Amino acid sequence: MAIPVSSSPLTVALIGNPNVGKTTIFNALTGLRHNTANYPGVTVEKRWGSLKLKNTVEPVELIDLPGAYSLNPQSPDEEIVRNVLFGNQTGTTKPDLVVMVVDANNFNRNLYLTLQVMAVGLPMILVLNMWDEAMQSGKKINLAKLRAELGVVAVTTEASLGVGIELLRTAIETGLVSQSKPNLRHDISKMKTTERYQLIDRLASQMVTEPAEEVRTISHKIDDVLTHPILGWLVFVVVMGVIFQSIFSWATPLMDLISKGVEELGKLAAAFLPAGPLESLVVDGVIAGVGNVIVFVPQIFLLFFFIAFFEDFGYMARAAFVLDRVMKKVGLNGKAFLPLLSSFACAIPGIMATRTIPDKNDRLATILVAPLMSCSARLPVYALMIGAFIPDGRFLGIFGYKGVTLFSMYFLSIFAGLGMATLFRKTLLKGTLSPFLLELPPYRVPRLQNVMLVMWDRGKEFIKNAGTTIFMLSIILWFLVSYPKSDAVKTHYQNLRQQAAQSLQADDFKNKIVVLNHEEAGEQLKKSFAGRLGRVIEPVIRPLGFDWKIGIGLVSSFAAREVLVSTLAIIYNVGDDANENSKDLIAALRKAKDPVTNKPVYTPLIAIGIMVFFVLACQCMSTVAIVRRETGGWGWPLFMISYMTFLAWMGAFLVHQGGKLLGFE
Amino acid sequence: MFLSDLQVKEKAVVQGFQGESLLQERLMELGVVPGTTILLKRFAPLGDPIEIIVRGYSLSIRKEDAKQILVDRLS
Repeated sequence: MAIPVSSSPLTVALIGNPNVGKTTIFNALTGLRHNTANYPGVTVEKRWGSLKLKNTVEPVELIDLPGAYSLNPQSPDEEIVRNVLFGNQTGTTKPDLVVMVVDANNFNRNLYLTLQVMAVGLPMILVLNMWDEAMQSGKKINLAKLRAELGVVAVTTEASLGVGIELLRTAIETGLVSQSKPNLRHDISKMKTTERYQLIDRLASQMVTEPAEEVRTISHKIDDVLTHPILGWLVFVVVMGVIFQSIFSWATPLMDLISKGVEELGKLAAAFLPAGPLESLVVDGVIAGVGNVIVFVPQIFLLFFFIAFFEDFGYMARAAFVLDRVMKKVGLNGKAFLPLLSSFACAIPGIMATRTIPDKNDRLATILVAPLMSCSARLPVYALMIGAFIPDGRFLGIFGYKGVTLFSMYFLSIFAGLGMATLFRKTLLKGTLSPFLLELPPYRVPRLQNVMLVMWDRGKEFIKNAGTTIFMLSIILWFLVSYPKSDAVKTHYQNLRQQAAQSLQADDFKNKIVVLNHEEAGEQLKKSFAGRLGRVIEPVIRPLGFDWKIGIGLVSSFAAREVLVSTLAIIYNVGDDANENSKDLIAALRKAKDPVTNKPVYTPLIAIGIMVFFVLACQCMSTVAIVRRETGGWGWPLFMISYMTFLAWMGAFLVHQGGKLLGFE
Repeated sequence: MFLSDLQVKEKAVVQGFQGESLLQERLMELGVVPGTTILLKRFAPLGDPIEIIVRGYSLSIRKEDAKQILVDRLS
């Protein structure tokens, strides 16, 4: 077989409506080896892979185009599809062959896009996917008539079972050689939408026989439960509960393992590198900094897994259907629900999931409030503050103070998020409420392979991000907390260590050295840029009741919120390996006194102020990095940091001043 | 009457649209064109949006948008 020789690799594009099994076909044809990236300038994912053909040595590239309903674009996804087909997409060559995938169950509507694609005039193969399913439902499609009427090569598949894939592969190969274009006997270019559907109805009446009686499918039965006025909510709560429970319980051991791994890696690096600035950069800067973020990988992957699973199953569309009314109230789309919910585990997958929201302002508003949802990185902060300062008593003898405090933080986060969404949609991101037009696809058994692939693709993006932006920010933060080094402090502690060596014996000496090392680290931190920054911002945070040591914590926890715990541990000289349950750290915090007034630095009121600050502040460089990527610039992430910092300050201010007025300290 | 006036399990034939909008354009491209039969399948638990069956598939649309679609009820 001879294929026309061209300089660039041959390109085959898969196109079709959403939910027609395009990606399953893509995976089957490429054998799971594929690449993903974004189309330049937009956050539409480009998936491509090399297509293995029998008699062709030349590389053939298969592109999985995003799902589209029409070539008359109404979303960034559809814009891309159109541009690719017409050869106007930078970085993607015009396809040499189009594989048009349609859902045989939903032939009628799928034909609309098919006719549009045929009119483009590229060589084409029509794939009738989910063929077996359609035939079992009693539908009949006359393939001979279809081929004759549409003038196109047509192949049937049941891609989820691998049926018909090899025939399709052969058809693609033949198509690339023959370059045969579809030969539609009707000129649709001048037709209006209504006329096109009249044509579709005419064509369909000739080649499709619908089942005599409408079959009550399993899908309908499932829907009766899942969108039931009462059962629907119950199922929803249970599903979400299970997702969150498993994220926390399954991810925790893995997270601990990664933590340990990062620690060991640090030790290993320390052993190989000569002590000094380089060692500190690698161990405390890069390994610890990126490690702080990598720890969340198991949670993020699990969340992506569940999202992909329920998307494949068809439940996510129902969740949007059930909750649209609620989201509409705050000016958001039903599709914003899932991203916001995911953000309770971690804002990163949440923000990435906003890609399904078609309207730009809708999507931006969702991105901007997603980090207000109380993510899991805030838990160590809550745990430390509640554990140390909220008493054990109970309200009305039932609700423990501690539990109520934790609950209040989650409530505040939801309240702030929805409130800000309303505000943004009424001011900055005005615009009519984008229409909620959502196909509710039939329920299907999710394909584990697809789910794993989606999880991996999205998770990989997060890791890539950790390797670039977060890597850089980690180095900057490391520099701020490590420099300048004070020689005076160093000499002072060297002298103290020598004294200890002379006056103390074995165990006492060892303990003393540990204490001295912790103290020295604390003193150095106070002298560092971050320490100075803590002092610089002290006048600003004083009205919140925070001293400059807490200020250092606020600065350094920009890396990730839970870093507050280890920073406080260094400041209070208990060593950076303390965690939120550390008795030493809790004791040190309780003992901390203001040198001027001699009053305790931390009170329950201050602890609540700190927690409120952490609910509302944008203390997360990963979020900033991902928002920069998703919005294509620094403008929105900087705005996000600003408004959240303001909100956090106001929140903590109200807590502190209000609390004082009520007579608390 | 409008699509929003239908009761659950009632069928109607699309007559046309009131006003013009992007939404309308998309609805037509999704197959909701004059002459098409629509079945109101259900209301969401909170009463809005609604689920309609058109051309054999399920589509969800808000009530306020359904108010733009003129229909004739089928008895």
